[in-house]
Amino acid sequence: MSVNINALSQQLQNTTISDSDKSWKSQLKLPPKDLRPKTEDVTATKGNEFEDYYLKRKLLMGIFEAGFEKPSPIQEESIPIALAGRDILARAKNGTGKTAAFVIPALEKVDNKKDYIQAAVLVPTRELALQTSQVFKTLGKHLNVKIMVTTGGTTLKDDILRLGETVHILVGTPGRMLDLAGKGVANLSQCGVLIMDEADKLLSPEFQPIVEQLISHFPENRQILLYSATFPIIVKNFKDKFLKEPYEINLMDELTLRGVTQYYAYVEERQKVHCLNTLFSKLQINQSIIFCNSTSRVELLAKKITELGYSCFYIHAKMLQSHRNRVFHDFRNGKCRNLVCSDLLTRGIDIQAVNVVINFDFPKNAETYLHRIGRSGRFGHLGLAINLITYDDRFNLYRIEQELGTEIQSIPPVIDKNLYVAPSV
Amino acid sequence: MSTASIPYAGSKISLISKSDIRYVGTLHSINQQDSTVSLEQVRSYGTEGRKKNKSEEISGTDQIYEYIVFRGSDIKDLQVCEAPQRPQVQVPKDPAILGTTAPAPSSIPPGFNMMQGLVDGNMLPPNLAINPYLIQLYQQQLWQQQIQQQQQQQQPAASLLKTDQATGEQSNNIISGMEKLNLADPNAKKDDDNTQKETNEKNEGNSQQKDKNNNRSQNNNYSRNYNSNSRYQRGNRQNNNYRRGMNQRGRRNWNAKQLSLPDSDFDFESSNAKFKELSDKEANKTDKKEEEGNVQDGEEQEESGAEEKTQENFYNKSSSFFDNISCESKDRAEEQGKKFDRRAKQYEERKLNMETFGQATVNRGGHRGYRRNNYHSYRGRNYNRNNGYHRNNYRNYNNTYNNNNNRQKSQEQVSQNNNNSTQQQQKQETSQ
Repeated sequence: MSVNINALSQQLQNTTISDSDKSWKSQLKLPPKDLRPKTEDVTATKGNEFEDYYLKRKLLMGIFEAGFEKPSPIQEESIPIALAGRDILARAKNGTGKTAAFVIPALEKVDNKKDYIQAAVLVPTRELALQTSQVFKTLGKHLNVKIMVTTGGTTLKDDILRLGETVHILVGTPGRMLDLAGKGVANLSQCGVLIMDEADKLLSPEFQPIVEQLISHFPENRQILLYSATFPIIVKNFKDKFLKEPYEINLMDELTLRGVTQYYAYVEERQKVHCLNTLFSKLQINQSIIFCNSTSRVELLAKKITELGYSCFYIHAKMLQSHRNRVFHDFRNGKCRNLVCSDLLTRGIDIQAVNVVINFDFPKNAETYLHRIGRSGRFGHLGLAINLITYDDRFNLYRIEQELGTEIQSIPPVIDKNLYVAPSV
Repeated sequence: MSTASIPYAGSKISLISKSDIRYVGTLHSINQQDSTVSLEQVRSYGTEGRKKNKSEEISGTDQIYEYIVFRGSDIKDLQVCEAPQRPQVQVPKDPAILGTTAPAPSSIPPGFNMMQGLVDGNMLPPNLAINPYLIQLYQQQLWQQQIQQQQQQQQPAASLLKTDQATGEQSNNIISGMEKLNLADPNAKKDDDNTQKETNEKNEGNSQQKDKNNNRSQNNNYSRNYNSNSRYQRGNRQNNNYRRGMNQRGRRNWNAKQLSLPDSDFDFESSNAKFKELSDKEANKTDKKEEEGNVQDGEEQEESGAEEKTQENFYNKSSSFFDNISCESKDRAEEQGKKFDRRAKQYEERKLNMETFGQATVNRGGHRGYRRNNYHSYRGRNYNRNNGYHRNNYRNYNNTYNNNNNRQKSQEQVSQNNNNSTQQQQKQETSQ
């Protein structure tokens, strides 16, 4: 017995806190480092470390194993404030780490021993809901926190059954979440955190009434966090009505991403397919997203691209949800080089391999344009945005340039690879 | 509809029959069920000294046969390659040749339809057209094969056909069979495209002719053709059903959609130069107007001065958290004020689509207004309605008996290929 105690005290003596620190860190299964160059949009940090936030060890493990090294600027600003329990109104550019900026504090706050919903995340599209819940699962993989996604286009019955079991974090689209809350199936009365990603979209006239109704199901002292890259003035009404002395974070000195080079190509409508064909042959596309302005045009273009002998998927809101899921999943996994889509995927979708965005149809407003081109150049990486401009689009082009304070140049005969292709390491 | 049923269709194939005669032609299709290989534009090169007995040597011919179906078991060797050009004569007498005419379009065996569409996007078979995801699966397979083309070892396809048959699997594994088939010729894809285009043009002509016949006789023709072809006994009934529902008008539209693109690259420079010219002209005009205005009224100047600053009015971090850029909700609010004319909007879109793509809607030019239902809804809440549409459509005939199987299979296929392709893609990406 005494021998045992001796051995134990010996071991205790030899153990220092820093030792144990190292041992858990060295046991992490880290993914290969991403060595692509990054812009200031994500590198201009204060120098914080994730360890600085006194997060649970198991959460830290999830963070590092997901390949995160240091918090990005928005994460540095948002995580401590969110942990402190304040309402947040946060503005940061596309693809600079907003999702993790709310996922990390949400995971930290959730107590997995309590079997009710403690955080709810609202997003405007089903695909984004899937993506966001995936981030929760990845970062929280050691936490034993139960995440549930709920969106339209799935069977309500399944969701109801699922809610019979424990759910800690509910991620979903407004309509379905309200449906579940209204039916009393999802109990949000103890849900202290409501996060709204792409908040301005959620507060646009089509969603706002639903969201406001939904908020009535939350407790009085809930914390509300709003994140987006665009915040039109209409959000101010909501802010004044529902947020309590929100902490404003604004990391956008300008609206557009530094890493994304924007070009326009002037075409006649009937030349668009030809132009696109030439682009395909000239560009080094790792993966591309091609935007059209209507679902019928998405399908037509996808068909033409296939006829031209290039691989492509397409996705739009009028497809069956199961098909949408497959396409989204497979494109994300690199099964296909090109994805033709409507504005369904304009916001929030994070596919790191996308280095080229093509506006086959030029968008009608600056907001849509900004979010679309933000599908490339994720997390400060380089990307290319090419806009096919017709005679009728020209005023939109001028206007969007002016509103965003950016320059869309005419496409040069040769596009420098270094502008959008990461050097092979 | 005579184009290929497999991804490598259109590539130059050289095969040697058991009679030692070598044929070179464009691959049209491989039929798993019957173990046959169909080539187009076939030329016989004779035995080229492969016979031990010189008296048995058969010389080649420079005649080109439109279409030949080869019995798989009589094929000794099959390679994908660029054919060497040599002038030769005489029709070969070869038991390996089953026929010299292309089968009618209706004679595609049911299990085949899926593969058919894969290659040839503009002629997707009905059951595929109904299901956007299936089409995409297809394309995805195509894409995977493109990757694999570069990496795989050469293997004679004839033997592959046999092994595949031996395992008794369905015709879907033609794809897997073909995947093993290496395209030695890197230009094969190019060829493929060209032949596709050619055949499409041909088809256009055909279908226009057919259109002159009335519907019923047309259908009869199809089924006669079909029945005379004993190879496709399986699924006979279903196929007839599908024929019956086939709408000639829809069919014509189906084929009439090929967009012809110029061979040359799009000229960005001159096009953009044109644009600059245009915008300069416009700028000049407005400048002149402004100048005139300024002469008349000093206030104008102030206004234009104010315009310079407007950029800050859209977004300025230091003055406001919020922005004032144009956005979806503003657009919508604006539209609400106007009288919304759905029909006019629909018309506009169809017109625009015609201009861009040479067709107004995806699969059914003949079915006017089919989308009317869909236009109402926003954000995809209407997938049921969309299905409803399909239910009325002839394409569903095939769907009921075939689609499910095919989909499952192709998904299995895909999942089998998943690992492979992601790895390969990763390789590709790093090499870039």
